Amino acid sequence: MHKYVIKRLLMLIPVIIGVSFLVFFIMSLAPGDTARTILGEDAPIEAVEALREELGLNDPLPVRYANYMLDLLRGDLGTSYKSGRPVFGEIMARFPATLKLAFWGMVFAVALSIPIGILSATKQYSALDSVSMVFALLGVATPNFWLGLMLIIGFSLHLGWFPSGGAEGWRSLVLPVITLGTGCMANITRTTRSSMLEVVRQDYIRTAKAKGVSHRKVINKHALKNALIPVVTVIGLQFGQLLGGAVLTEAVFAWPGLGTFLVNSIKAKDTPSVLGCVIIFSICFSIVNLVVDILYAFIDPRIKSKYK
Amino acid sequence: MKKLISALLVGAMCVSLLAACGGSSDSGKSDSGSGTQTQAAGGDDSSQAPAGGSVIRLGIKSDITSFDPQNHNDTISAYATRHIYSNLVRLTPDNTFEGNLAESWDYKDDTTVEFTLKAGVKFHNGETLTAEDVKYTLERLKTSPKVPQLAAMIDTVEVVDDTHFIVHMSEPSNALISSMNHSGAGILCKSYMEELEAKGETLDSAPMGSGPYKFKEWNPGASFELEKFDDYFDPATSAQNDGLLFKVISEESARTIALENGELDMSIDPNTTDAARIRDNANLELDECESTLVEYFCMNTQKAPFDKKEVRQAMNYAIKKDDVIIAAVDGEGEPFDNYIGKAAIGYYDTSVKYEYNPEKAKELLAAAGYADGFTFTCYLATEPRSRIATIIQANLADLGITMEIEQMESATFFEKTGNGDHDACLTGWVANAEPDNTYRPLFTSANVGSGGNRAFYVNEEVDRLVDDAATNRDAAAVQKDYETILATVSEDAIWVPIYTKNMMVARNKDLQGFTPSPINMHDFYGVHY
Repeated sequence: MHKYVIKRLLMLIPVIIGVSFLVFFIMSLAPGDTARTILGEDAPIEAVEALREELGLNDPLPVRYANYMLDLLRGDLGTSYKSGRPVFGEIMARFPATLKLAFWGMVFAVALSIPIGILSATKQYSALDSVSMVFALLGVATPNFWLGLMLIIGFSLHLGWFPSGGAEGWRSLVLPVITLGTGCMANITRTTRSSMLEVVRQDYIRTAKAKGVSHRKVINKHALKNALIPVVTVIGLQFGQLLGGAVLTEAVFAWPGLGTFLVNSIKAKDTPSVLGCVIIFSICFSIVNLVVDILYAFIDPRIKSKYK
Repeated sequence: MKKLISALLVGAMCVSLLAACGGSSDSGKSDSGSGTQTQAAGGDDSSQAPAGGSVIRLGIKSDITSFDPQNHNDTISAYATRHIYSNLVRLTPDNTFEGNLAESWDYKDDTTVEFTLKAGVKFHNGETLTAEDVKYTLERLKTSPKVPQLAAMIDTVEVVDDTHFIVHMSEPSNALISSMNHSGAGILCKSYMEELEAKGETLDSAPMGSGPYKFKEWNPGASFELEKFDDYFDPATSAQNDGLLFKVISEESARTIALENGELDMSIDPNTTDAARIRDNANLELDECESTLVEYFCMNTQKAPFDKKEVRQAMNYAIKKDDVIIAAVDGEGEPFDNYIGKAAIGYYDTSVKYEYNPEKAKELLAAAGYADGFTFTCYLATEPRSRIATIIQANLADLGITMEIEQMESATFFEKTGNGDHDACLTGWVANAEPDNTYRPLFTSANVGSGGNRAFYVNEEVDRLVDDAATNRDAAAVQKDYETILATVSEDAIWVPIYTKNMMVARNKDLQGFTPSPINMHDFYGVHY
């Protein structure tokens, strides 16, 4: 198991090289002058040219990439073109907020979706099943920014229960977490339901029922564990998406996370900042996937034996 | 299952710890070396604080770029730096410059200006501001990465004594005084800067100046807070509140809701969609003033068919500006026919007026040999320009002209229009306090393309007039130059100026002491309940 984990962690190196290579070259190929974008339309040509020289933008692309990778090897994510501050500091000032929002969004989604998915599956075609599936469909189809604004109007403007934005205390976390978690919740509910439906039709479940094991015990002990493998996979993928895809939620709720920073950096063609964010997201995504794989082993001992 | 739950709980603890560490590290960063109080801003109590608190909470659309006045050139960062640092001069509401740190200035000749500083001005760290600090600031400004143009005309700065210094310019320039009002020319404390540099720190970790507010805290991406500086030198512009808390709320509707909700005292630049709602709210007030904005349809005068003046004039007759204003800014604009915003220094009403007249447009097109119309592509980047383009497209279709719209990301737009790839484009301009910063980039041949002259307009007489206006010490002659330029470019119809829009700031109606700035350089020191 340890060997497997170390092997997977070492796999991060080619992932980072591949991701940085792709992002660096895509950013460089995209039209637009970084210096002009940073200084604005009214900046004189001389100032733009001086900044371009200072940022090293006149160097050939391979030279710029090589310099970036050499710095990266030393653990230096570079300096933001836009602010002139170290990218690592810029990211670390915002990443905890993004992680916090993504994590509690996922907790909210999992806490509601798994019980609802199980109930839907065990009471297939009942009113409860229909209602939960309609809500799941709505959850998937509802745009984040619209749901966020509706929640703000309802719970902040009219009821005054929660602040409309910011990251000040637990009350400011409630509405963004619901907004961000709703889409995930819908996906996980649907996966749980379909996975459970498949498992409860297996022979060993029928056998357990024939032996007289109670319905609750059949579901909790025998069915759920086997149904969880695809659910955990979906949770892992969704968590990765939450980390990088919370941009709209962050914008609506003025949440000081990495999503807004990344979008602004892309707009400004601030390559070091974009690369820094993408590398951090890649590492997180890889780690979440590793955690998911490890969780498989705990859920299903047959998989654990394969890791040895 | 139990193991799964345990793993989730352990994960929760890790995230909470990480988040807590992140928060404290932000505070620590802001605090280092500033010598000012640092404590967590807000908390639940802050967001629910009743209106009437002495710290004014302002909603802004994005975070600052830098607290170093010479390391940014954006409005949001200037909200911070204009309040932390003081400038030599300031712009009055009637568009004249008066002394701020400078007691007076005197032109010895066309290239030599002697300044006298007010005595006894203190920096936030207690040091006295002297001419050496000004010399250090201006020399640093010349090599600044973001705003070197502000000091481009300065050759050397000669310190006479603590309160007197002489600026020697390399060539005559009328832009010296207006440049000294720019937020980039905020005066820095020389010894403090040297101290910071020795520690390997920058002004972003500990900004310090002589302005009416001291830096208190910055939470990147979320907010920054300033607190009143009690030893500020000028009672007339000293802080009338205990502090300013700027909250970043990028979504405009959310910003308005936060104001309605009492979580903000002011919202800068609200969405035009929300303007009517704010006016209807008995608890809110919408402050408006004329701005220096011009939204315009720009034609590439070096490409057919817009290389013909008749075609360009026909476009001026063809566009129904009232319809554009409704679609673009919900009717919150005013049809415009000038090339520089109404509230700008250097605005004169000498441009040629073209009223909506499709028949006249058809005549001009026929005279130019385009009676059956033509097809061209219009580039644009940000909203609301796609909505503007849709209306223009419909107007031109009535004349048999097909306008294809190509929307792109801003950086791409600047590059393509800078290279002259466009037939026409939709863009806008906000003039600042120095008219040369508008006339030169927009109309001179040296700035064709990425310099700002996206009409690719070349007119030697206009070049000469711009140069004269920038250097001539005779105010009447300068006015004449600008009047002639406006008449010339509008006769040549290089653009279709479409509309201008008022500057808007929404606030709690009980809040007093605020006057909006036409150039978006709002001062908040006078704001109080």
